[in-house]
Amino acid sequence: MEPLPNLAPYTGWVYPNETVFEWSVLIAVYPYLTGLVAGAFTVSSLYQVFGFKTLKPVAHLALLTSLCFMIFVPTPLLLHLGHPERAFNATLTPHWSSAMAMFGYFATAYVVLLMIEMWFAYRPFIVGEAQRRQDLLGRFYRALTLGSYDLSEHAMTYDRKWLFALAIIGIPGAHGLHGYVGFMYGSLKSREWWSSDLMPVIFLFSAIISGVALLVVLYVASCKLRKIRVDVACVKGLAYTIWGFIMIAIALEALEFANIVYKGREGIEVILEYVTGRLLIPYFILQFAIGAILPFLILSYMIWRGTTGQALVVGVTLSACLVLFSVFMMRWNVVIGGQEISKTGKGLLYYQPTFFGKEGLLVGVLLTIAPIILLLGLARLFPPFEDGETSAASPAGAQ
Amino acid sequence: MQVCPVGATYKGEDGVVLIDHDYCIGCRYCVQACPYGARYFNEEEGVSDKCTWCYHRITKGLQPACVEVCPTGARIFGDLEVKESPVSQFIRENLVQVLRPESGNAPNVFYVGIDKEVN
Repeated sequence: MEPLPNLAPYTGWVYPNETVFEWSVLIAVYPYLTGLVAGAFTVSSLYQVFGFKTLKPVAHLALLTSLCFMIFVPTPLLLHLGHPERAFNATLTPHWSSAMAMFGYFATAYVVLLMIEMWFAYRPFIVGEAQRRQDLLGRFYRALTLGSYDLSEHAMTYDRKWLFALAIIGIPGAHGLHGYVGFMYGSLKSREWWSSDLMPVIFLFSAIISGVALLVVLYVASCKLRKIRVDVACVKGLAYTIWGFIMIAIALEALEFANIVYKGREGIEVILEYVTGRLLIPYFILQFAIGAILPFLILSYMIWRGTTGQALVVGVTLSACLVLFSVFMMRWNVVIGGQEISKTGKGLLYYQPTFFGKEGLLVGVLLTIAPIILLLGLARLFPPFEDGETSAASPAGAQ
Repeated sequence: MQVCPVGATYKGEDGVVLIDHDYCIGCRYCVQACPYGARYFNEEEGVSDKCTWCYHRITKGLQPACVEVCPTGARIFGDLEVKESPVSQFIRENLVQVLRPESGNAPNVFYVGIDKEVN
């Protein structure tokens, strides 16, 4: 049985089993990671498919970021499972009525698609390195060429077609990968805080803004590290993207909350007590006011005033950091918040995260930082920037 | 049962909802989905768990342990399909309720005399 310290304190009337919080902070980190994956891929697709030429500087970085985060996506899940060694059963012998069983298919399909797309995007670079290098890395690149050294105009046109197709297919792929999580929560009858038709869409739109915001931060940081000038047009393009999607995200979340309050189903008194009490700061102040409304106002102001140059970069980066924080708070408020409201509709519980431990805060933080460290390493093997000769549009030229 | 990603929890032909401890991966989605808070995570076995109506006893013709030991006979268990079983007779003769009737789950656990203050 549970040792007593694990039981959550509560007020009101709760079911005995609820005093153990089954879905911990890692289960809030997981949709955060898939959201960043989906959002980063969206940026890459905005360039490849929708022709947002201003986003060219971050197009390859977006793919690389998406991959790095995707690699770490299964980790919180595996750490959480009671029997991680059986995890593949959900994909090999899935229970088709379960939204969670979709994870294996979406994740596999997306990873395969991302790798193929990256291969096409980096092919000129890979071929160049394969021919240039004689060391061990050279062998690595030669293996990666998969035997294809053709960089003629005909081949590049072929590559471009593939990139375009993959970028298009990848949009529902990436969004499905993240959207199913929202559906998992929204489709449950058991918790009023989760049960909503809007939930998959809310998750998706907040995912997009988090991914774009991440790219803003990574791009500006990388420019500072490489000591080159930030492409202001690119940052402006990303800012417009965040601005557009954040309006929808705010509207959706406000609608969802308004619906809960307006419908006033059984348990509404406890929900209102919760959001005006313990959730006031994490929800209204951190997630909404500071994390969403404030960046929206900052971006609106800069767009209105036509801010440019250094001021724009600073403003957008600040907004991006706030957005990243807000989206994590949203995941926390949904996952943990939902469990803090008792299924009885007449009680509240209190989540006490551990710092150490398999599912503690430390592991959560490490899982969020690890993909960035991986990115630093992978960016050496596959330089994402123009000065690193990775453009798919130009054949491998002089290094 | 709908939400289990591997189909480890199922309703048997006799109407008992069980969990296969050898197949459950311990994701606890069913624990979240259960509107009655009846499921929990079994730390020792690393799987989700629930009351099985003492399946190991009822399949041998015994009563569930809690029914057996109830000093006031407040618990009645039996086969709902059989009209003469104690539980079928009881349901016919008393005003029974279920938890969360609006959920459409049609559970097979009935209560008498619960006030609607308790979900």
